[in-house]
Amino acid sequence: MSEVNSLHEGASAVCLAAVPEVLETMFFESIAESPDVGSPPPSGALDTSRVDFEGSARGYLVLASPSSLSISLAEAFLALEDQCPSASDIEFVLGELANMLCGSALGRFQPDGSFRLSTPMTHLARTLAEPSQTGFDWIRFSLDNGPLFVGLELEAFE
Amino acid sequence: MGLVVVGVGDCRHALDGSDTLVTYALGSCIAVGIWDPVSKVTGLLHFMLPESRSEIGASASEHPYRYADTGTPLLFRKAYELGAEKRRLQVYLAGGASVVDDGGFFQVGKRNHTAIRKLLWKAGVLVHGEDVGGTYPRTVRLDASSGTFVISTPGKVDIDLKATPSIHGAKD
Amino acid sequence: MQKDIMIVDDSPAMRSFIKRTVVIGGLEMRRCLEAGNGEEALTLLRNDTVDVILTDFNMPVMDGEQLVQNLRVDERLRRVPVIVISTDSTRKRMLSLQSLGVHGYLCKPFTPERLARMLCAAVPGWRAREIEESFL
Repeated sequence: MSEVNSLHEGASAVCLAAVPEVLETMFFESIAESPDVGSPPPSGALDTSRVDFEGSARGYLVLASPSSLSISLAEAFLALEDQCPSASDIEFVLGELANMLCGSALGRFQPDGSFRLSTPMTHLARTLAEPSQTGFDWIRFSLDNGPLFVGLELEAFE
Repeated sequence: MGLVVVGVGDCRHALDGSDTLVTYALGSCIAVGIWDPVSKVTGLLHFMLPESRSEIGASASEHPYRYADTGTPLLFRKAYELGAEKRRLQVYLAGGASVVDDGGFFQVGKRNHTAIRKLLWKAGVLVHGEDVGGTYPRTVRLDASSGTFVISTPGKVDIDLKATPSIHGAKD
Repeated sequence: MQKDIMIVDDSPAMRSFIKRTVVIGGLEMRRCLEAGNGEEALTLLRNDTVDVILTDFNMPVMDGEQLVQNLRVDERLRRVPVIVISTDSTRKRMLSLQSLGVHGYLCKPFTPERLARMLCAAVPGWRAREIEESFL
């Protein structure tokens, strides 16, 4: 049990470090409050993106975002001023966000490791199946344009 | 050669190529300096908060330079009116430190930095140099004739971002 | 002096970000070729060449490492500077790419300014051009 807790804490710690850096650097989004560990997304439709990984560790990273935040993230990343991002734009931007968060977190978790990341799987306006029943701790990041929920599941490592 | 002081929540442009714009005591605030090497049009904005919507009432319209989203467009538009051209402008940032008294705004220095970077990215402008973050105050001098953007901090060596345009700044 | 660039990434969003950086960085760009993976890139370069290639690492069909390996054995393309952009910041990855002779390695997340500087360093003689549009 202690090893599992240690993995959870490690996953949360790398997410707490990686998420602000990625968001601020390439998505121009700020953290507005202290992150809340152990805070799953609410029920209801959210935009989600998931990246699986294997190698020195196996698992996946998932993020969930309300539509308003997804739109804001896409507008910022793609530098859109007078036009709304398309559904395709939003999907690709969220996928890229999940990809970067995963790589950044894993690089912190095991700098001497080796990982292969899957292509992100992104779904817009999807209801998560029992988000409070996952094996990892969701982290809620309150951003200026809405909450972003991030979870990192570390299933095993070499 | 004149010294033009830019106060907190203020913005000034140098009309005479011999002037120096200066702003003091940058804590969590950010100074945005712009300089056109051909026309010598120079501008310096000292803003306090990222967004004007954080303030209620008439404050935003009465004090547009307090906020990145209202002050920055005015900084650039005035410069264009004076003869600057966007393609030639050099842009520098300084400030955004972590401060003890943040007025109730979470990590306001960092948020100011992110806000101005977002505005510039959307506007199609890259930053030539910046010195942001840390926990120390900064004073900035922007010289209109040479475009030097010198940052002074007590106990530290001055940094001229024009001479060394790589990104400076301490991580919190 | 205008240059031709190639951006290889399976994310259209990322290709857009990179392209925008090149444009607003004032780097004179004549052509920008885009590919979604290494195989598409090699197909485009079969009868063509560019001045610099920016490639992601993790891509389906053919990843960035395989692309670079293929470029290195092609007499016509082996000297084209390659910058690899990746989320992978592990030491193993950086060392393996270094051994392949890539010109630069940029870890995500990165600022557009950093990418612009790396491009200027990788391509001799690449200078900023005047930008027509105005904003703000």
